[in-house]
Amino acid sequence: MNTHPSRPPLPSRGLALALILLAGAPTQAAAEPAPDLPFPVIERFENFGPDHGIPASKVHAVLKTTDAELWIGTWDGLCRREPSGNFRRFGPEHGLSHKMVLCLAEDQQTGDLWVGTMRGLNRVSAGRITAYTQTDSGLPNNVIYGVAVSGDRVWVATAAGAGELQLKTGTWKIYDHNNSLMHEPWCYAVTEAGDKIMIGVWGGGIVEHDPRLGSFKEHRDPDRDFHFDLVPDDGPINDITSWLAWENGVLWQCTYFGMSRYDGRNWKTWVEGKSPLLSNFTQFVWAHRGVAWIGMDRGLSVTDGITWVNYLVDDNDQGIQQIHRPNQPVEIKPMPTALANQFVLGLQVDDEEAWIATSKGLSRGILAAPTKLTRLSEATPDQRNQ
Amino acid sequence: MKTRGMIILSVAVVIGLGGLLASLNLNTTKRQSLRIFVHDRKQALGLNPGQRDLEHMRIMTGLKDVSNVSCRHCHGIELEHMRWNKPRRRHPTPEGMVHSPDGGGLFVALADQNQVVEIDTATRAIKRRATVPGKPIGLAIAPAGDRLFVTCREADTVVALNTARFEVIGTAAVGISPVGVGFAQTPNGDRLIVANTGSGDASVIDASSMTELARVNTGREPYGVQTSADGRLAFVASRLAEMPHADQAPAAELTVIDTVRTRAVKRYPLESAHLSESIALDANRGWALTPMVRVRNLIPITQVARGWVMSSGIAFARLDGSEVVQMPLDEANAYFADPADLVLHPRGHRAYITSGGGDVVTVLDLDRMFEWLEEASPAARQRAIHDLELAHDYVVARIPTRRNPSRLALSPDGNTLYVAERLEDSILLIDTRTLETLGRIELGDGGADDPIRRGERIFTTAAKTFQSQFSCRSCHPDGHVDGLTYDFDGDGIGDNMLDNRSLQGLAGTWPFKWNGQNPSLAVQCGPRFAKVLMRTDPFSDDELKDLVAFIESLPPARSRSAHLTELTPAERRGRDIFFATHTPDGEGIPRDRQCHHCHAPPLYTSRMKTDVGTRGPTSLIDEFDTPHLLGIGASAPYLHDGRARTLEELWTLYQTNDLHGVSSYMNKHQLNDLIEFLKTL
Amino acid sequence: MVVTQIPLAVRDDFRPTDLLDDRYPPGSRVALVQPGSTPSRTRVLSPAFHAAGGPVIGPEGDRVLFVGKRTAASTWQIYESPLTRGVPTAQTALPQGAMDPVYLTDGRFAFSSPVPKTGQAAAGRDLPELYAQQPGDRQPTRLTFGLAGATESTILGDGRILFVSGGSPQVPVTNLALFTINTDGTELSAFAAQHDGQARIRRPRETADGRVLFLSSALESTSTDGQLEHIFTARPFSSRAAIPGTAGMHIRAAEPASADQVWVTMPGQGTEATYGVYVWSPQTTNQASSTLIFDDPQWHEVEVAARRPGPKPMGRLSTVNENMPTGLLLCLDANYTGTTSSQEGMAATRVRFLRPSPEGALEWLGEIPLQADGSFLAEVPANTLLGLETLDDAGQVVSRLPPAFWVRPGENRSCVGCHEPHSTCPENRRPLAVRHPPARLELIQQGLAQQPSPSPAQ
Repeated sequence: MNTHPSRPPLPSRGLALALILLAGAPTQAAAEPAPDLPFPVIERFENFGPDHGIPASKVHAVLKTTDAELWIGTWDGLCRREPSGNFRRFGPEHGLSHKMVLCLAEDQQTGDLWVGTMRGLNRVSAGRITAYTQTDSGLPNNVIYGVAVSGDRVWVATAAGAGELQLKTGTWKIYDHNNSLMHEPWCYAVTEAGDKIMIGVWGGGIVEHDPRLGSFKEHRDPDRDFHFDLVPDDGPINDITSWLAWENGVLWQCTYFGMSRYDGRNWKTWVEGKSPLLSNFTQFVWAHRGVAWIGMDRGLSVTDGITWVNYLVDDNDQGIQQIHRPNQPVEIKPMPTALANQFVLGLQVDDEEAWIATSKGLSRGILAAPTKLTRLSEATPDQRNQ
Repeated sequence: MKTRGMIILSVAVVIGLGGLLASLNLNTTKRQSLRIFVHDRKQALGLNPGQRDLEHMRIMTGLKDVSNVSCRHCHGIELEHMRWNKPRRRHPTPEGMVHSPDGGGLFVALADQNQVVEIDTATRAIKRRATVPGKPIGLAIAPAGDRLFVTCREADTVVALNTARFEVIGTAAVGISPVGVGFAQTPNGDRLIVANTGSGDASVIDASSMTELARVNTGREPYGVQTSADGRLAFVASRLAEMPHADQAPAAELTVIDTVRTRAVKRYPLESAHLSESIALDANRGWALTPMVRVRNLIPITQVARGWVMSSGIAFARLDGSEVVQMPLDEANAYFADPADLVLHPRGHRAYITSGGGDVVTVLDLDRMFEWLEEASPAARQRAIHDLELAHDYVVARIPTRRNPSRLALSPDGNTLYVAERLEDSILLIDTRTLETLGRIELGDGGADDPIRRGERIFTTAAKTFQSQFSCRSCHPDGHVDGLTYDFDGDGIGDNMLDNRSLQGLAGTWPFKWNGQNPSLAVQCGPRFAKVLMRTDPFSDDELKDLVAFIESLPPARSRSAHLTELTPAERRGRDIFFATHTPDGEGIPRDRQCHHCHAPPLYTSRMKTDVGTRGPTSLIDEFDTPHLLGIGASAPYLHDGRARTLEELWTLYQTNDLHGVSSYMNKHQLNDLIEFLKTL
Repeated sequence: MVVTQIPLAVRDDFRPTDLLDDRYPPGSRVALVQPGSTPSRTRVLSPAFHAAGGPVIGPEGDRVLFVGKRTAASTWQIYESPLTRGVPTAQTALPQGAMDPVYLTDGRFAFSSPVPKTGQAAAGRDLPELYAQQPGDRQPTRLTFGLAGATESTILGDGRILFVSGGSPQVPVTNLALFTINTDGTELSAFAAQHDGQARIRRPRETADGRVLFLSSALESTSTDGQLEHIFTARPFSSRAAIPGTAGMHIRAAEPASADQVWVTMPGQGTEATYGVYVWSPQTTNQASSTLIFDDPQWHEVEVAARRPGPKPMGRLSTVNENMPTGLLLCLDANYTGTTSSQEGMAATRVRFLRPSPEGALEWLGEIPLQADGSFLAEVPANTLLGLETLDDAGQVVSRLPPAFWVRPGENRSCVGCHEPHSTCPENRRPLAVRHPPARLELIQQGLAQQPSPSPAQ
């Protein structure tokens, strides 16, 4: 794997700690905002678990709706945060198709919440849950890895293809290897991308669908190498797409072997070891104001492509913040609190706060007051593609 | 001697004709028609069909014993001959009504005649008529009175009429079969909320540009709409209940929509209730009221007395969402079936509600009703709907009307109540101060000489059931389904729920009943029906004839938007699957497992009983009458016991060894396509 | 109108031997009169009868049923006469007599038999039962089975027979109340006045404006006059009241004549006054303000019959299958009382069926368990007065219904609960009991339960 000449190698976590200890110098106080960063940093975490009514520690998804309701999908039910701050659970006894909730999406036109589970899709609307399964509807498959709403259509990424539900007619369409460019039907992610739909296929890269034309276009890893990014920035970093997010013309791709970004013309890829990306095993990405919030098995990375802030949990459950500025040494600080768990499965970020779904609970990232908040990074395109 | 001679002559002629047939140079259709004629005559004369005919019938039906099969099972059926496809007399049939803001005019939708009229309330004469195609049914008026909005049920549109010129000035496409409409003035502009009964949702329309802003999911068959005084909320009453499972209590829904943010904000489940078609809001007291029928479909119908099958009531929903209370409208020994419309007097002391099956307008003392509500314990409020002696406390009067009173309109000053007497083509006027009738506006002659109209009257009256508890329409609104299963005790009390079937498109699809025992509608609706359900005298012969005429005039249900003019690619693929004789691999599908074999067009039924492996755990038979598929998309649930909630489940859960058509080769694409095609029928 | 006229004076040596003798002394007659007319236009419909009374006009208004005896020694039987011309024909020939005829909607008529002997206690086998019969058939079908009497029948608009009974014969009669059955004897139900203390009810009649009026007197009263009361059919169990303006009136009979008029027979004012026919209307405030419409000074007009106002009563097809010895009884929740149910806990877990023995004790028919929701479905002997006891786990009786109901052959009978308020509809819940075949009581299994359906005592 190549190392970019202008970027110093990322020190290992252990080495960083050793350096701190050797230096004998106190670390910088975590509460102090970093004045030069182009996006907010989390100054501390609040963590939520069974004591707050969350039925299972494994939280797969988190979403804040336009009504400012916070929903989480857990291993054992769907939860909504109540005004008291605790969570109220909804499960199969309330009509949910299955207790294991994998993904969430909001229909902003109607406020309906769409919930993907291990056994079916659900619409939560003003307290009523309507379930769709593969046996009682045109849903392609019950395992719903991803869900997105685009206009009056709901898209699902399932273990047997992508499904499109036309809400006004109730008609389902299925896209899989039989009728699209997909090499296999196992879809892990789906997102609206302007007037297109992007489908993340596990082992099939990204399929770009134009609903108006009914056309498909494939984005595959040109290297065709699962383990190495032989030629950086030549396309999607890997074909095993685990998540997708799109914002203002920029598509972010999570894979099990690194991260990619695509602006419609150019690709940019990152792998651990050669970039501040904490881990190649990326699970989830949320794009907000041109900044990608990336969840992995080793924590959370936040980047605009140039500057990175990583949030980890060390072996002593201490929260660690790493700030990677271009051409500068890494700044490492302990945090007063840590993520509930470093295995990040879902994210929800807005201007006020960040919510992080982890394998052992839900974390709320309290943002430090930003001193420089940009809608898009002020970096030049060339810098973006470095 | 003479008679015997005639018979011999007839036989000779028939046999001769049969021989002649072979020698004539006729095209296939004419040959077929003549063949059918000959076969019919043979059957009538008690002659055995020829060997060739027998063999043909055996091959085509897959049956060994074809003694009960006639040519007419498969041949000679043309949709043009169906009563619902033939021209029929159109009656005024007043539906939606709304006053002009000054009360000087009353706008009335004449659904059957595709007209909206304006009546001068002073002279009670029709001032103007506007032609509005597509069965205009629901009306709403802008507060300034300059625009009248009309839902067109068959065109899937809502139109705006300029009231000055009485012309259509705008049209918006909405969901399937729009009925109710409400107008809301919101901070973001004027809105219309349209209840789309066929698509199970409500359209939020920008009333200025006549464009749809959003489609909000509601209960099943949303029907009535009422907007709040500040325009911010719209309440939608849904007519049918959702039944999670065939043996679980159903519930209809009252949906509250935020008209500004275009979303549902509250859903009130109405337990074991359905047929809610309107709403009234008492904002001062903080309640929404909707008429409803409390159904008891899970209980074996061993009697009708004591509200055993159903009873009517009003659901009171607290606007804060904290509870719903159902209060009875019926009495211990009399019922007032099919409550349709409900309006509140502006001063808030009285409410008026029509009973479409009871031919009355019931006047309610709201002060007493709310007094009871506030004082009753929670347990008493829960039980209220079951107490048939409660209504006596607050029913002020029952004012008789002519046939099938439906919609109401109160004059702006609250002094005059207008009642649409739907099946008499008239509007009754009632003085709300004295409760005396003031006269009528006659829109037509009532149509008493039209057997279809007479039949509809029989269909909608509850007078033919014990204590007038329900009408045919109570279980078959618009002649369709109520989506529920019932347990008739005619074959003993046991766990054998039966799915309610649609009467729409029923013409020509004999025999009837799930076991196919009833050869005609006259038998179906005859004495046995009177015995096991009506619990009264059966219909007279004349009544039966008219009732059958009406039922046969009902066209098939529609589950597809009127805006779609051609089959989609999926529907075309589905059609190919339906008519397939081979699997995609080239393997032949046995004739009796081909979809179109049992569900043969144009009615999509062979009209024969078949065993397709759908016997339920407690069914007593294996063979069931093949239901027709016209309108099938709109008549969930499915199978004789209603256990298939959707069409998909017919093959994903309840298919047995490819007996119900060969489906094992299908992938999900193909099953979806097949179902898309079925929804076009 | 048709009236019963009884002589002004009765022979000193006349001793009534039965109820009808008492009601219609020798010389009583049934006559067709015109309201407001003179007695000279009277047409006697029971010419040459020793005594006659109790007229009931047919639905077409062209014929009348009444009770009569041809001679002093004969028994009271039902006769039918055309109203305009013709002679009465006997419709019954029962050794113990017949009374209280009423026209049914299917062309048959119903009546009670036997005619109680004077001073007979209201218990035992000789209490009147209801029967139905085709005119001229002489083969009556029994409709009631062992209640403490079934008399004073009338037909309701919904086609049911409304009659008066003392209820269960196993319980001392504290009042007479109103019950209904269908015209085939199915669906016996309480109608009104079941819990109204010491009262006797007579001559119930349905009005066209949603009421049933009747005469009420103290249970021990020997007078045939009474207070005119009514109940609203909308609220039969809690609306009983005296009809306004009738306080203090001694009324012998009352008959709805139109939507807002009731004909009553009562004595005029003054010691020598005879009974005549008066009109009560909503404007009536007291006896003086009621309008006399007929009075023959030579007779007491003690009964009046009018053609039933309003639409014809609704008919019904029978669901009885006389070939079956049993029927089914479905109870939705035997623990449901209106305030408690099985959902709050199963007080009772079994139900025991009983019937009166020939000796008047209670005979055990069998026990079956309740389902988890309190429901049961049982096959029970038809045409047999039945009672129930619900039992808890320890075998203690939780609630008891003394023998007071039956099922007809092939009838599927249902009830909501046990002693719930009468006008209560059931919850919409599938009873668990229907998932199993009906439980057969042990006595049925032994073939011992069936009792023959007796015809009127020969």
